[in-house]
Parts: sequence; C-alpha cells; structure tokens
Amino acid sequence: MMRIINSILAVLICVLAHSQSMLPLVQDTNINACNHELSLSGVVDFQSTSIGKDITKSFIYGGFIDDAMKLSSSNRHDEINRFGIDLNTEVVYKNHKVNLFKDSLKGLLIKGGVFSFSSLIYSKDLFDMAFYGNDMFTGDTAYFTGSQFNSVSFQKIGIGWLNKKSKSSFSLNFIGVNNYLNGVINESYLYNSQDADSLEFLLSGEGMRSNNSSYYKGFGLAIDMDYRFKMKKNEKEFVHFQLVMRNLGFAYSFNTENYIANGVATVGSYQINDLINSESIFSNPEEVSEGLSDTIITKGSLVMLPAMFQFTKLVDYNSLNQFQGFFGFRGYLNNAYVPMLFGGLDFKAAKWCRFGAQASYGGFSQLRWGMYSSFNFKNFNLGIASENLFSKTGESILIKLSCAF
Amino acid sequence: MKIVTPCFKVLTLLIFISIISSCKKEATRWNTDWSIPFVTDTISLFNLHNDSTLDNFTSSNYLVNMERELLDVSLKDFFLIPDTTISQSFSPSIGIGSVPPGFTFYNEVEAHELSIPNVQLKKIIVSSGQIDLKVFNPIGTSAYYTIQMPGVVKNGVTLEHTFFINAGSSVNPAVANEQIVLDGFSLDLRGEDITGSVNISGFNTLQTSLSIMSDPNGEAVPIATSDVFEVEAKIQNLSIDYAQGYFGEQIFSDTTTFNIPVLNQIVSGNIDLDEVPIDIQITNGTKIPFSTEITLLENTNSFYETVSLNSALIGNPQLIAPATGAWSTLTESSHLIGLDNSNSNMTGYLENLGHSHSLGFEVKMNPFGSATGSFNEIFPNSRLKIKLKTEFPLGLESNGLTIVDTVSLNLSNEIIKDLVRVEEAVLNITAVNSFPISGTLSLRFLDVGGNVLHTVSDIETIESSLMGFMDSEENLMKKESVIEIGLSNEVLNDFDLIKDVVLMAELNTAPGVIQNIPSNAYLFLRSFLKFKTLNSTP
Repeated sequence: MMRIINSILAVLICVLAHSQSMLPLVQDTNINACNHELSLSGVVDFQSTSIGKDITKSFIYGGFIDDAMKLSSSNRHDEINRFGIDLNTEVVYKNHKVNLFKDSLKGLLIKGGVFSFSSLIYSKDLFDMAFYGNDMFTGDTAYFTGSQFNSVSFQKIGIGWLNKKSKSSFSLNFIGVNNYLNGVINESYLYNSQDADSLEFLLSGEGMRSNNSSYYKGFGLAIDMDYRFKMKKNEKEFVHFQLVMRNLGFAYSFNTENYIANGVATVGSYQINDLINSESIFSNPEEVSEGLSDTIITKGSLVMLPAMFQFTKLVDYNSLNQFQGFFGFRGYLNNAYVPMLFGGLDFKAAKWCRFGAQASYGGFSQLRWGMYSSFNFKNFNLGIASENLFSKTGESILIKLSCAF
Repeated sequence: MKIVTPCFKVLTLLIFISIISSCKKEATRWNTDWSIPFVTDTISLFNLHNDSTLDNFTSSNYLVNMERELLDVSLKDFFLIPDTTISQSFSPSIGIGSVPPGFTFYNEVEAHELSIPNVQLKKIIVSSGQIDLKVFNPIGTSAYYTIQMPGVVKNGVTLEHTFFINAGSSVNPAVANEQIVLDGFSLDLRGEDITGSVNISGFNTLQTSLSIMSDPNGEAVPIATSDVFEVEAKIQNLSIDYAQGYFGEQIFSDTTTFNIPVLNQIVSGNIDLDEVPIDIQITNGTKIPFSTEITLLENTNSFYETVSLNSALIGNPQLIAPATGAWSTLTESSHLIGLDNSNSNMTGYLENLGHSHSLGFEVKMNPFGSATGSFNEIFPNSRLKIKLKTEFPLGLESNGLTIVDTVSLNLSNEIIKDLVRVEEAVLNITAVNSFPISGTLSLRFLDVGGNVLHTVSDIETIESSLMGFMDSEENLMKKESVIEIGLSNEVLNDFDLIKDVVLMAELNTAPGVIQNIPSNAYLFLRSFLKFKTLNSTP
C-alpha cells in the first residue's frame, strides 16, 4: 500500500514540477476488467497569439529575456493579442465493483485536482511597454485600452458516479480557491511628448484580487460531467462521442480587494527655480498615483470558475482499424479563449502501442500541431501528448497514467 | 493489486530529474528603457535679475536702465503734530444772587501753546483732524456754551461752535461732549500781541474764547464763586496739507541693502565690465534747504570680500536748494551726484560681483539753522526723493565664472529601490543658447556629511551663441547643444547614500572682449532622464 501511495505522490510531484495534465481522446475499455481504476493526469499548456514561448519559458524556468526574443515576439503582435496558461493535475478513482443506487451499471467515482488557469487579452503597446519601457514611445501614445487579465487557482475534491458500460460519469465537486485575480482596463494610455518633457497617464479600469492570508481564499461548488454516446457506423462498428463539462460552477471569495481607477496622472518637467529654491526634488512621487484616484473596497465576491466544455469524436481502442480519425472542439468560460477546433489521426502501431497526430485552431493561439503516444500494458496505461509541438508561441505537455487493479 | 516495478523505477528517475531541474530555476530578467521629464525652462535676464529694468527696444543689445528709489518722504513724514489737550476754565470773582434767563456772563480769549519740539509753526492747513470738546456746567439752569477759535478760519469764517448743556450743580456739574471737525481749516498759530493784533513773531499758538449764556427759557439761578465753568478741548489726529514756519534741523538717514541672489552662488572666476556709471539724484519739492550726504556704498561678494566705492563725492555733504514757486507753480529743485570711473573706482566696485549692496545716506533739513527767516514751506505735493539711477550697455567678459547650486535629494525608499535596479542612467540635455557665453556643467554627489562621493565632470559644453547661426525671426544668434551626462553604476549604486547634488556651471566668453548681451537673449533648456532598468521576477 505504501508503494502505491509513494507512486501517487511521486507522480504528483512530477506533475506539479512540470505542471502537466491530459487530453482525453480515447474510448478506453481495456482497463474495465478490474474493479478499481486509478488515473493521474497532468497538463501544462501555455499558448499565445504573439508572445514567444522562449519568453514564457523564461518566466517559468527563469533566465534572461534578450532583445532578439523581445523583437521576434513584438513583431508577431497585432493590435489585440491573447495569452493563456492552463496548468492542472487531477487524480480520479473509479470503482466498478460497487453498485450505486442499487444499479449494477453505476460505479463510484472520486476525484481530486489542482487547477490554475490564467488568461490575458492585451494590446501590442502593453507588451512593448512592459518589455521595452516607454522610451520607444517618445512622441507617441501607448494605448492599453481593452486589456483584460484573469487568473484563478483552486483545488477540488469530488464524488460522483459512472456508467460502467458507457464510461459516462458525473461528479459534484467541492472547490477551495487559492488565489483569484481579475481586471479590465476600460480606457488607458500613456502619452509621451515628443520632447520628453511631459508624460500623461490615463487609467480607467477596475480589478479585484483575493486578499486573505489563509490558504483557501474562498469555497464553492462545481460539477464535472463526462457524457459518452455512440452512433452506429456499420454493422460491426460504432462511432464514440464524448461531451465533457469540467469545473462548471462558482466559488465565493470572502475578502476580495476591488480596485477602481479613473483619472489622469501627469508628470511634467521641473523649472530652474524648482531646483534653485526647493529644498529637495523627487520627494513626493505619491502625487502621481494620487492623480489616478484609486478606490479600494474590500468585500466578498462571486467567482466564476473557468469551466471547460469539450465535444470529441473518440478513438475506439477496440476498433480493428489501424487508422482512426478524431475531431472535436473545446471551449472555456473565459473571454480570452477562442473556441478551439481540433482533429487528428490515430495510428495503432501495435496492440499495446498507439500514436497520433492532430491539428487545432483557436484557444489562446491559432494553428497548432500536436502528437501523442499511448502505451497499454495489462494493468497499466501511459499516455504522453503534446497539443503544440512546433509553435513558437506556446508549448503543451499532457501526461496521463492509469492503472487498474 | 499489481504494480509494474520497472515502470515505477523509470518514473522515479523522471521524477528525480524533474525535481532537480525545478530547483535550478533562476530569476527571470529583462531590460527596459525609460525616459522621464526632468527640467524644461527658459532662462532670461528677467528671471535672474528681477530688480533691473532692461531696455530691449533701444538697440539690438540690452541696456541696463535701472532706477531705484531710496527715499521718498512727504509732508506727513516731516511732521507729526502730537495730540494736544487744552483746557479753559472760569470761576466768577463775585457771586451773583440771581442770574436771569438769557444772561451772557463770560467771554475771554485764551492762548494755548502746541507742543511741537524744535519746530516753530506759524501757519498750517489741516487736511484732516478733529477737536473733541468736553464742557462742564455747574449752575442750576441749562446754558448755551459758545467756543470760538480766533485765527482758525475756513472760507473766511472763524471757527465758532455753540452747543446746549443741561443744568448741573457745583458738586455734580452737567457734562456735554461735542466734536468739531477741522478738515480744511487754516490755523494761524502766531497768536496775538498785547495790543490784540497778530503777533508777527509768534508761533505754535492756538487761541480759544468761551462765552456762556443761561438758557433764555430757563429759570433765574444764583452763581457762586465756587462754580467752575470748564472746557476741555482735545485736538487729535491732525494731518497737514500745508505748513509754514521753521521746521528745525531734522535729519533723515538710512542704510539700504539690496541683494542680487544669483551672485551669491559664484564660487570662482571673474568678469570684466565696461564702464558703468551710477547717478544718485535728489529732488526737493519742499521750500526747505537740505544737505545730502552719501555716507556709504559697498558690496560684499560670495567670498565675503567687501569693496567700497571710493569717491570724493562720498562722505561730503551736497547742498540741495529749496523748491521755487508755490502751490500749483511749485517747481522742485534737483541735484545729481554722478559716480563713474572718472571720480570713483566704479568698475572695480562692480567687478567684485557683490551679491549684497549697501547704500547709506543722510539728509539734513535747514543745514544753516534758522537763518532762512523761519520761512520753510511745505505744500501738499511737496516730496523729497533720492533715486539711484544707472544706464549702460549690458556686456561682460566672463573668465571661468562659476555658479554653484546645491539641490537636496530626498528620495523615497521606493525610488531608491528602483534606482539601484537601474543599469544605466543618462541625463539628456538639449540647450538653445542665445547668450554669447558658453557654459560647462559638472556635478558632485554628496553624502549626509557633505563628503563628495562622486564627481561627474567630463561633460560637453553648452556652446556660446557665437558658435551658432543667426535666427532672422528672433534677430538672435543661436547655438543648439545636445549633451548627455551619464551616471555610472558606481553613482547609481550609491543613490541611497546621496543626499545632495551640487550643480556647477562655469561660464566663459571669448577672452579679451567685452561681449554685449543681445536684447531678448535667452537660454532654453530641455532635459530628460533615460534609464535602462534590469527587471526581474523571482
């Protein structure tokens, strides 16, 4: 038993160290023979329309972001850009032995997971300002209007039931929010005069963040649903479909700091007399921020979780075909995430080994190419995938480890 | 339950590598370039020397046309007639058993001397002032008191005032208060001689007479010798329009100090000037002879070196004749004391670059005593003025003249924290100079104890306008200079220790030539700070 626990902990550490999770692509019936099934999955997926993955990896792994990295990313930017990070790991235990509700098809499902989902919509000027400074905007105005950011980290533990035959499942999850950050810039710009003798910063926007020293900043409820159905393809074969809803729910954050900024701050030049007659200079920089007339209110807030919706035509492990196609779409309850379409081809190299390739379009980026490998043993299944192999603006690693006993 | 052991081992290896690689995470770092405004201003001569009047119309070069009033006194400043109370009382020498109604029983003129030390006034015209009267009635019937002031005339009518007072008693006399306004009255202060005629040689004398008439509608009452009829007259707040007499030997003296602050910030170097004349003009609008003496003219520079102006005209009284005419024909006399290189060390005096100038003077009235026949006259528009005047082309030769200013840096902890992350900082200055003077800047950074931590002296020069081109629109030679002052890492790393920055500007002109300063010349400065910061996230 200790070895199992150690294995789970080790996998979790691995998952957390690299932040990994899994894309469910298969209709896996092989591990149905045992009464118990334990699966661990992890996803680390960061994508952007414009920011190079070299920059993002510098933030994840550390390092210096040089001018070449900044220039290539800046050149990719349009007026409006998107960026997102999805990090999660999930443990699911399925018990096929018990009959819930006295129904022989209903098994027990227990799950737990850690999720972190962050997104950003931003202007090119915001990127340039952050990575180059305002010097490049001399005689110009940097616009930040329309930028939004959202980040939520939470843990969940849930219980539900599964259909032993179809693999459909439903669970009700208790949510503990670890962190929440949200903001929108309704209007903002930084004007830099041609002669560099004045700056004008306008900021009209609002934001909120959880502000609590406790580990859990709020609690909530969410449901997970995995509905699978099949359609007859011919006399012998079926086409399997999956409709997934994950983390559909809300949480209540107890102490949320709400910021409202609506004002203009101006920085002008000193005059000679200011230097000759004053006792000091640069003594009161707070005056600049006061011009923005910040308002801070602390109150409880309802936080909508970044629920995921996905519809997939699955790959059937029991199919005799060596090649199978799959396709679907995915969406998140998030402004920055554009519904993503994906499709691909599965290749059965051996009974215990499958490979696949896929293309997707949407999400936080645009066109992405991915591949996966799946290895099946008697009581063990290991899937390793990436939805983003060649893109310069993102990276994706998905791992799923299942064992049946 | 069955766990595949080989896979577990592979997994453990992967985990180990992952943990090791995770531990090696370093900070994320990147550079950004920022520019913030610093100083933008235009320096003109008006900014630096606000006590001067610069003539920028007469010629293409500035002319200094300075005029400063050192003394301006009027009649009110010469005389302050103190508030004076005069009292007149009367008691009958014999008692009268019954005084019938309407009986006038006292009328006598009394002379009162105004207390004005060392001044003999014969005639004054009052612009404003008043007499507060307080009268006491000791008899048992009401009465009419009439006070008359001989010699106090307005529009040809002698001042006379009658007022009613209720019945009183010897023990508790009735009291009445009245006020007579003296505005516009002419006061002949010569008094009367024993014949009752005007006393030609009299002065400072005011006359009053008092008559008392019992109430015609009252009762007959007795008057005893113990009854005292009394009038108190308080003359106060007298302001004079005109005065005639002998006003004594009054002396006005003062030492005036004026500063030119920017000259106090000179730490080295010198200038050469062309001749600068200074005139001291005295105008006398009174019919009083004066003598005027300039007692002192000296200046002290930033090295505490004092230079006095030496001249035969300083320390020797100059006689100032009285004005002529009268009233609307009054013509003031004028006297000019001219100081220049021919009669003084004027150029040396100015080239001392004193920031503090002191001028002492003494004005003496009637320097020959009362020999004027006691006929000093002052009219409403009479003024005595002393002015300092000078007019010369503004030009100089500057030889390393160095001006210093110290600015305190009171940086917040947040700014210091930001600055120490700065890898490079450059102060970028664009200067447009239309003065024929070049300037070289240097900076010194001091700690709290005044010790020099760092010096930045290798800075390009703000060139003289003579190195530039002619701007036909502004009719000025102009030269634009762009200089960059880089702050090294050593300076930036010590920003938490720096408390003061000493700014030094060394000014130079072409050697051997007095450079005239063009009219409307200015120095435009625009500067901003450029920072390269190293940003990092943990």
